[in-house]
Amino acid sequence: MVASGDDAVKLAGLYFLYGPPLLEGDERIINHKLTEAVELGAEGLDIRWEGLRRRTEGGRVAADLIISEGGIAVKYNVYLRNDIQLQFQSTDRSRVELATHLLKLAGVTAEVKRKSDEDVWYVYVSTDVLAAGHERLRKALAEVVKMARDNGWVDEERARRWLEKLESVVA
Amino acid sequence: MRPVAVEELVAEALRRLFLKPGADYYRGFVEELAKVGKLALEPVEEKTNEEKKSKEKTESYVFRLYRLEEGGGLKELGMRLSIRKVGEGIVYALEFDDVERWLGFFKQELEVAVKAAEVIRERLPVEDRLPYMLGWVASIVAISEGRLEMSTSHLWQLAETHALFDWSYVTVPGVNLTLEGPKPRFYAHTPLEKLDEAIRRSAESGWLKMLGIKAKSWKELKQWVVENWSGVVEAAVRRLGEEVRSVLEALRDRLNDDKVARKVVAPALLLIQAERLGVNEETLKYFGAVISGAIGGGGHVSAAMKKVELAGGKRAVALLWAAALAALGIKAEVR
Repeated sequence: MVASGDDAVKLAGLYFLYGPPLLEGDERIINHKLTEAVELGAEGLDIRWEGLRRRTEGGRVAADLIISEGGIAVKYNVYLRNDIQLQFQSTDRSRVELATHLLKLAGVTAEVKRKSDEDVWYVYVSTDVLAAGHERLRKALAEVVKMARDNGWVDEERARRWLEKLESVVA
Repeated sequence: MRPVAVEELVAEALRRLFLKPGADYYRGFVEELAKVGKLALEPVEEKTNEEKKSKEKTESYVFRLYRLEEGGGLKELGMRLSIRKVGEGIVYALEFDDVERWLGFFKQELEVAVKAAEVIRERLPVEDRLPYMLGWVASIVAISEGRLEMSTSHLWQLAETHALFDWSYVTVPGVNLTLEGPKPRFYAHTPLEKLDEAIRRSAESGWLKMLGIKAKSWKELKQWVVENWSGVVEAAVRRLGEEVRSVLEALRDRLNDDKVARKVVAPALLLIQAERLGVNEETLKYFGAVISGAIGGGGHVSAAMKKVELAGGKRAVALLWAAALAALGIKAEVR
């Protein structure tokens, strides 16, 4: 049985999102089918942002970043502080694992961590790691930065440095 | 097998023993064989049934390996070199008679797989392990004589399945001699009760509960599928057309055979899921878990060709998978 083209993209996406983690290190424990699925599944990825906000004057600037694939979506928080921070947290570890799989499809490697003494799991990545992600991810983040800068919520110089990183390898 | 001298085939087998990266990974094993110095081979007459005998004689060779000692004597190494035609290719392998004697050379690999399994077990995105297990059972994890068993030469497959089935026995019955050098062949088994436990848990609080299936064992789950087979057939017909009806109806009578049932249950449950619960993020996650086991065990993914293949076995099984995929809006061609 063979799925091709966009059907294969969708199937590969589901395989990667809900399959086992793609391990690193010793080549013999790397599932090469998953490696192929990451590459193929990434073609079906959709990345958008919404809800740029600042609760108080001088308060932290935040937005939502939504990464979705084949009907599965995760909404991450993006914070603009000393650097660009992307975060997702939940008391459901499986949900956080799914969030890291979606990030991996977007070209970002991240690890699930547990908040000490709490049943809360999270994934967190910042500017340099995000800047190594796929073009669609970097473009969405650049739009958030530009909008925050235009609103006067982010210092011009800081925004310039972030945009340089996000746009430096954009084709 | 192309008509080549047997000496050439043996030379090719021995050459493969020293190819990288396998020769590096399994240096200890290769050095142990290399230090034997001179090898002697004795052809082994294989016991095959009469019908196959003449064909196999010309298409496969098996030799017992001996060390040639200084005084001229022969000491058995406890392994055979097997050269067999499989499809269009030739499979070269060393098969151990005395498995325990050679196991020590692969202990490190087994430890790597166990450690990897611990990581995988913690990080699976779907809490209920049953859909993953059923995906593997539909591919390379067999059910035989009250136990689950698997043979593979991929360490990652051993790790992924160990995370799910917690194999109670793992060994290395032989080494394949590939163009990437020697690759150990792992064999693992565990009691069928492991699957029964997962079914019980799933029926109490997981995927099976969501599907409304009350089963406490593999036997009961199979029985449930048999009793609901007409629903499975109708769901498949609705998606693939009337022409699949007779093929799928005929499958019902074969579901008592675990060889058939293990390949059928997973796609049948996915069809039932699509019928009862539709397609949403919750149902997609169980679909993803089942498909991950099925592809991990018997699939092929190519980003360059933009293709995902699933080896379903018989046509009827492939049709079931195609129907399950069609329920998600994924079109698949049955070949």
